This record gives sequence, C-alpha cells and structure tokens, in this order.
Amino acid sequence: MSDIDLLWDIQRKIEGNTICPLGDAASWPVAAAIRHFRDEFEWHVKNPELSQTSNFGLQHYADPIHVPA
Amino acid sequence: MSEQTLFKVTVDGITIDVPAGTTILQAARQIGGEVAPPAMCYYSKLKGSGGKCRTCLVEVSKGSEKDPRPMPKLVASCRTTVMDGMEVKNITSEKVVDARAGVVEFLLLNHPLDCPICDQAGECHLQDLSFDHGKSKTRFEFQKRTFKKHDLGENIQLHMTRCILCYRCVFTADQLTNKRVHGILDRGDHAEIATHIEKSLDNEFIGNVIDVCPVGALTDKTFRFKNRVWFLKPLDAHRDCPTCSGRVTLWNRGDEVYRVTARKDEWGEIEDTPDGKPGWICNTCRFDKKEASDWVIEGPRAISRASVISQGHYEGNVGTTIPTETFKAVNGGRTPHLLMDIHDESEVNQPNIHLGQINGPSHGNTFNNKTENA
Repeated sequence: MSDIDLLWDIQRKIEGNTICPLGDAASWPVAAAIRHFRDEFEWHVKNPELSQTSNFGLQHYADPIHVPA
Repeated sequence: MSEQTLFKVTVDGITIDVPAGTTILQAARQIGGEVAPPAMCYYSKLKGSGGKCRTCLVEVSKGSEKDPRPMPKLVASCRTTVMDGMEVKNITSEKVVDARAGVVEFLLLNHPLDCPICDQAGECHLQDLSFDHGKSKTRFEFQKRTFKKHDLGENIQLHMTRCILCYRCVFTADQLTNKRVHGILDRGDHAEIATHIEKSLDNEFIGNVIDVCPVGALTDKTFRFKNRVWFLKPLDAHRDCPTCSGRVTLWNRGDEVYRVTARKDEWGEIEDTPDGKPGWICNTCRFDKKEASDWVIEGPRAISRASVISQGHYEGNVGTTIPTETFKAVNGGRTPHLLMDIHDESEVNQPNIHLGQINGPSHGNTFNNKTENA
C-alpha cells in the first residue's frame, strides 16, 4: 500500500522539475491513474487472489490471464 | 546598451542590484551564504553549462515589477535571468526544499556511495549536496547501474558509476582544447562518458576535467589512493609555466607534494587569474611537477571552516596524535572498574575460521555455528 504513495511522491517530484518535457509526459499517466483510480489500486493490493482471476468485464478484450496452478 | 541597467532582485528577503542578464544563481551567489542555491552541473567559467542537474531549482514568487504573477513551476536558477523586481524563494520555500530532496534522491539512485574509498571525498559537491539538502534514506530497492573503470589517457581515470552526467567535462574539453574526443555515449540509463572508441585524452589542458568534475568520476591517477584530502595541507603556489598561468594549489603533507590542482573559490570553481582569465592549469603543472622545489609557495590556502579539509589544522602530524594523558588523569583520578582489551576478548578477532573460506559476506552466525560454512 505504501508503494502507491511512493509512486505518487516520485511522480510529483519528476513533474515540473525536469529539463525535458518527456519527464512530465512520463509522470502524468501515473498521476492520472492514481488520482482517478486510487481505490482500484487499493483493491488490487487488498485482494491479491481475486485480482489474479477476475477481469472486470474486460475478459473479451484482454489476453487470457495465466493463473499458475 | 551604453549604460548598464541594474535590476533589483530579492532572494530569500535579501535585496540586491545586479546588472541585466545576470542569472538568479549568480545574483544569489553575490549575496552569498545559505541563499545561494547549490549547483552540480552549472559552472560559471564554462559557456553553455547548467540546466541539467536541477539542484538549483528555486521558486519565483513574483515574476517582475511589471508582471507580478509568480512563475507556475520551479525554475532552474542557473539558466534563468533576473527581471526587475523579481522575488525569489530558495530555502524559505517548502516546495523548493521538497523538490530538491527529490532531485538529490534521483541523483543518488545510481551513485555507488563508495565515499570511503573515493578520492573526491571531502571535496565532493554531491556529498555536500546530499548532506545539506537530501534525505538520509533511499527508497530504491533494485540493482544499481554499474560500469567498468576506464583509463582515459595515462593520467585520468574514469569511474562511470559515480558520474552524475553533468556534462561539465564535455564542455571543458570543448572550450579548452582544439579537438574534443570524449562525450556522452548512449542515452538514458546507458548514458556514459566515453571516448569513441577507447581513445585516450591527451590534450595539454585536459587535466582540468578532473577539477571541474563535481563527483569522483574523473580522478587524478597520480593521486589515486595516495591520501585523503583532509590530511593534506593546501598551499597557494605558482611557477613560471610557458603554457598556462601556473597559479595552483599544492596539496602537501610534510614537504611532499601529493597533488596539484587549480585554485578553487568558495563555489568549487576555478579562480580567475589577476588579468581576469580563468586559471586553468596545464597537464605539466598538474601531473609532472610533484616536487616542492618546482614551486614558489605563497602561503596557506584559505579553506572554508565548514569543510572537512580544515579539520586537520595543518599542525604537526595530521590526524593521528597519541594522547599523552593517562586514563586516570582524564577520568578525574579514578581508575576504570573494568578495562577490557577488545582485541583479546572478541571472537571475531581470533577466528578459528579462515575468513577467506567464508562464502559471501561474513555474519555473526558464521562464528556461532562453526560447523556451517567452515
């Protein structure tokens, strides 16, 4: 769970501080994902088994998840 | 512009008038002290340097007198020129302190932290920077990027693992020598200072890359592992050199000259000679003249009191003095209850196990379970 905060902290320290706009561009997707879908990140951390097997209705589009026996 | 216009700029509440075109960093350095942001890549004597390391980030809380809006992002003070009425926050800004801690963490991600065996230790900008602005912890859990050591010519050794890619040595070679043969090869994580391919740097002024290197990536091969800088006594000296200014700092211990460097000012940059040119020194002065008789000594060099180099006090035998008082005299006339000779008591110092036969780093358990690993 602390890794989510770590991701957030790192992206915040990259964003706006780099000489190259690629730095900003690399950190924005991470920022957006955490800002809008933080609960999903937390759900995946809390339910590791479930997150391996379920696909949230995206089954048709996603590659089949390999579940080790 | 016939007359120089002066701009009023305020850094951390201290106001100073500087000529137009000065950068924020230079203005802050004119005020001096804590106000000046640290700089790893910027070097005032090298044209075009700066803007890469991001340690000199400052917050501009008021853009100028005409346009008082603050700048939206932190700016690199070494490449941003001042405007009239600009207000800059350096260490008084939470944002800057936080961002700088982040920058230091990123700089140290791949740095080996081998300061105990590094020749630059004691005069390393990265040490100062991480001490002043960094956090004492790292959150990096992966393997660091490593490179092999390289010889760049017969006098310069390159430790690419320590490099922070500040480009200072590239600018130095570009601006001091006729034909630059080294540069940054590859990009991103693979970027390294290199010659293409495995050439040696043999220009007469190439030794200056050692002086400009903010970390211990480029070191003097005639000085490597000879001594620690804080055991040496810096002396100003000069010599009649046909190629360079000949004004140097000698690093002595006793009468022996261990190292010759250019004279550096309080920002770690090369001092100007009296005629206003940067005091770069040539390879002959730096590497070959290691006799005290080669030099005319002017006197001891002033070193900042905060620097570890000034801890030696330059008197007698530096470092190791055996105390003359007995334990009784120090302890107010009392003898200790128990005087333990650690070297006899400790198991570690009398191992029945041959240390060379231990597989991997040794651990307390290695000595307790003597059957294992032995």
